[in-house]
Amino acid sequence: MNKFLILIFSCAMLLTAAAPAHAFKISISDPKVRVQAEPGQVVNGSMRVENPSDQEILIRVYMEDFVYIAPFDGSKKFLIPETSKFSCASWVSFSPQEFTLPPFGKKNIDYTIRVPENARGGHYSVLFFETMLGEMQKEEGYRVNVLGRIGSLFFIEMKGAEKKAEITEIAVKENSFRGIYANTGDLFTKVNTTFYVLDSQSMVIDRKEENEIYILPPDQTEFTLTPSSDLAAGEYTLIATFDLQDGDTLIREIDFSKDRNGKLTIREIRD
Amino acid sequence: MFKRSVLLVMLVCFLAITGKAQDGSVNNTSVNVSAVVPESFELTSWIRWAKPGQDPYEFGFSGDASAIDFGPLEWNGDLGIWQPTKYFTVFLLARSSGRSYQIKQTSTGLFSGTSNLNNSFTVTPDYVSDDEFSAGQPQGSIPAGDSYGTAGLAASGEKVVYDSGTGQSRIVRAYYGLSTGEPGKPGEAISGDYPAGTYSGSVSFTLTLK
Repeated sequence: MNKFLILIFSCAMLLTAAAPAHAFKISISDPKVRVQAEPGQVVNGSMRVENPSDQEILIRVYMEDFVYIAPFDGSKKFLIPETSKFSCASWVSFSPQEFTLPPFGKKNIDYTIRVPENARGGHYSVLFFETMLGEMQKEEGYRVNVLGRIGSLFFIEMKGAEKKAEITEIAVKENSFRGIYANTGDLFTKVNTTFYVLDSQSMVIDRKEENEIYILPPDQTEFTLTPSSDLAAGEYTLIATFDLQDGDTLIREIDFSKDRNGKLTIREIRD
Repeated sequence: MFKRSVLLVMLVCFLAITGKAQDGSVNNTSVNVSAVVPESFELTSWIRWAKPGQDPYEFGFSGDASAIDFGPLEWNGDLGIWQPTKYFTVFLLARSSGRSYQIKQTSTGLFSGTSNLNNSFTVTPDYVSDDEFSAGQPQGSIPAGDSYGTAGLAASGEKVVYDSGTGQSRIVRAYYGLSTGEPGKPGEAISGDYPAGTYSGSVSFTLTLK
């Protein structure tokens, strides 16, 4: 009898976990829209928003600005539209701006990007699709409504705008090589940093991928290259590749030595 | 007679087909197989209330909720503070087709006219390995390269709830409560000096790719 009750109880718990009574689900087809345009150009597009749940949802669509912030790991700050110097919120018109999606319903959102004649460099804003869990109620007590929004990041970049970067101040800090990566170009840059270490026989003995950097101009951030602590005392060359995407890369070669106490010393840095 | 002829023709055809298949004269053919997994970007969220100290799924001490509704607070005469009879867990699940993403939260805080409870309204992100995608399918430990945010006041700007460098779908929790002023935890207790009234506000979760 006890086993039967436990079974009933377990089934009830699992069903509760799998199917919450109040939930929202929202899905979009294009979480990133990247457009390379000429000044004055008009670009049309469309993206799909879906309600993959069995409950009707009300969706509000609106633009905001965003900027990447320290530690430049992809974290963003969202801003009122047209307050960022990189804003393209006023360039993008879209329709509809509010609608209801039935259970398992889909809808296309059409947008038009009108690039101003004097546009230069890169411009970045976000199109949000927002919905609310449950109904807004005004009851006595202490009540907080829960909203969820999902963003489509707009990257509108002028043809001919340049990606540029500077790598400076490479030094040894706490068994790592640290330096400064500065975005000196006109465009947002996502940087994938990888390195490998060669021994004195030019054999690869260490290889690593470091954290990605997401950075707008003219921001700069510290990067870290940490060779394996297993390296024996000796002389090595570390070759670091900063992949700026779209075929743009920066390479730095660091000749260094490691003493018996594990201390790293830079002998030479080459481009 | 007609039926018998039809049956005879069918039998001959059957034998001809099976015979050909079995005598080895059929060449092996390959069939191309393909499937397209569409890219998706999706946010799912649901809320549970629970009694203090209980798991959000503890039978008899928890339930589904459609908002963070603390209801009337209770007076704790020993501590001399107002405190809620329950706390809330907002569950969040993102699907990004393997692309790195971030979930953040902001809150307007809890206001009643010019009074607010913003220094008492707290959020604590959490990751629980036993949370299940579906019955009997726990999500397992947090992927290396992913992280969840730190506890703090909910209405203190944008707070990271979950950062996924791997882009793997994971269920993350955000606990919401009203502080009792416990040392070492964020927030201050709601003393008897706070004006009575209906305090309301909103919490907003944002999912974007990195």
